[in-house]
Amino acid sequence: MAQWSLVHGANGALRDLHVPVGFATAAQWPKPVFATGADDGKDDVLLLSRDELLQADGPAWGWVAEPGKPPLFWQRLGPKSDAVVALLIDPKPLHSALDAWLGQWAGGAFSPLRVRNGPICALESDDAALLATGDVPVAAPDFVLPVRSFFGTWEIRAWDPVVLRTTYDYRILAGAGFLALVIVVLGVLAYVEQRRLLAQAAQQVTFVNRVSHELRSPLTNILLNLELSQEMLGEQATAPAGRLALVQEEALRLRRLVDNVLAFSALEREKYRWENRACVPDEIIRAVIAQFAAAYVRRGLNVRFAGKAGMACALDADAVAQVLANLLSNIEKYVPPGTVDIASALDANVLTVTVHDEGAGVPATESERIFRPFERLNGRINEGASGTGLGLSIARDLAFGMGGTLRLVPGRSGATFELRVPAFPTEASS
Amino acid sequence: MKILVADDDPITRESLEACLKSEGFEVVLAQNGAEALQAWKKHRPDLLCLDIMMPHTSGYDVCREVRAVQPAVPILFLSAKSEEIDVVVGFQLGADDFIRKPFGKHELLARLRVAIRRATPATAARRSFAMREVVVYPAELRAEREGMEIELSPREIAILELLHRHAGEVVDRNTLLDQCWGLHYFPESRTLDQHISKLRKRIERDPLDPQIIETVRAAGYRYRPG
Repeated sequence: MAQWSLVHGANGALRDLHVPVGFATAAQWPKPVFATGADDGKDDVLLLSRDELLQADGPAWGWVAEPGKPPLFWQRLGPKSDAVVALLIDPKPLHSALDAWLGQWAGGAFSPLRVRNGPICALESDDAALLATGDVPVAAPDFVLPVRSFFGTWEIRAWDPVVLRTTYDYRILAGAGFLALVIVVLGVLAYVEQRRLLAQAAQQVTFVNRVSHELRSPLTNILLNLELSQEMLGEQATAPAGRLALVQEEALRLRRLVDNVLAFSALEREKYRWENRACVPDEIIRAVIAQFAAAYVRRGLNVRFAGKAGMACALDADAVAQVLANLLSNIEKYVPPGTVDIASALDANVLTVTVHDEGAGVPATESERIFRPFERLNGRINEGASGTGLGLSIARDLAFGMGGTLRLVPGRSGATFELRVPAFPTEASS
Repeated sequence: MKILVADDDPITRESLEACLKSEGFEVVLAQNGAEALQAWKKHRPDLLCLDIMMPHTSGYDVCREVRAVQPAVPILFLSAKSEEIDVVVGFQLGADDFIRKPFGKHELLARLRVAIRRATPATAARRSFAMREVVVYPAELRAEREGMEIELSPREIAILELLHRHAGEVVDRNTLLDQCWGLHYFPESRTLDQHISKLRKRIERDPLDPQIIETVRAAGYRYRPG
């Protein structure tokens, strides 16, 4: 105890008495007084509630604890008395005594854990260990039990002393190791095989490219000499002239095939070079139609060309010719006798070429698939015409490369393809 | 008009020579780059057609050396190489065009004409003569009829020039063959008629009723000014 006081309920009638006791750890203890409002907020007083302490039918004694101030025990002097005896407790020795008592209690209470090597437990107050059954780990405890009382707060902390012991079954381990080795070996073999197949595919592509390149020179010679021979024969419809026309037709087909193979390869490797040059679109279209003239006559196909793109402009004439040749080649292969309508227009720096045939057409569901490489509308062996399935794919890629589009126009009977590409004004036309 | 053709493939060389000569061009041949350079120094051609891959000296090398001396002479690469990098290198070296093999005669001639026209100085290009409604531009290997362009070969130009020079007169077949094909050239009898027929298709309004080039039976041909 630090101080005892006698506090009177009647205001100002009797003086309160405060008597320090023994060795106080503080120079001055707060004085318990009934709250009147005048002392509120002062540090050196401990306010008591008159209504609670002097209630006739209320408790005769009790504790008062104000934060930051020592605890106080009070007792009314009698049932009708308005005086209270208040005992102020020095908190430090109290806390030390409680710590000592709890430590002693815990020593007995925790002893079974220590004997049975149970979980490590510690009783702590203000982060200072009062008791521990072993070395207190640094890690966060697995279990925390707070002990809160009027006189202070303590915590019982526990760490589960689980020790993980790993044991291996060496047979399973060896099996797993062997399995892992097999998987690694298979993986390496698959990788090597994949590399080999890729290299083989690259070699095949290179081979096809080289062969196609090698075909270019003899094809040039064939085409040049065929034209020369035809000129020498003149315009007479002789049997040799007819044969030469057939040879020329086949040479041109071979040329288209070589062009397509090399264009596809270049497009796949993003090596294709588009090259705009001054030209007249209708002349390009007429030249391509002329290539197919004989074959179309033989198949009963009649071409009607409505050319409205007779102005000079700059575009990739080779690419436009190749797109158109691929469209006309498909008609030659798949369309029955009838009329093929080709129309051109040059408007607002865009060249539009439409090619319409009277064939079976393309189902709406297939309108995109036909533009994929190696896709054919009917892939059956008995469909009656050969083809690589590259023509439309290359044609669309070339159109895209020129900054244009190639699409199947829905709606009409037969099939209508529309090519739209930018056609820039030439120096002469601008 | 003189054209230097350099290609290591003898058949290509011969085919190109035949094609170009049939159109009236004078042709100088070279089988590799070194020969091409010698021929260029000796003949100073009006246009060069070069293959790229030739032994010892490539077409690129020839182009580089020629360009250093003659920046304006048209140079065309005729090559089976068509990778982007080949074309880019060709144009960087100053080539006027890059014709990918395979190509036909008409495509070759059309591209040659474009290159020649582009390289023709403005003053030379303006030199022209009129045959009725057709205006002929010899240096550009072309003519115009009512705004429509007509492509012509050197031989066709030579025929028109000869007939125009002798306007109203009959030019006999031998004179035409001597002047337009050369004294040492012995074409087949129908060659001249075929050329005239082709020419009429291009310049005449109605080739079946020719008004510019008249046939004078058993004598030759005549240009009758309107």
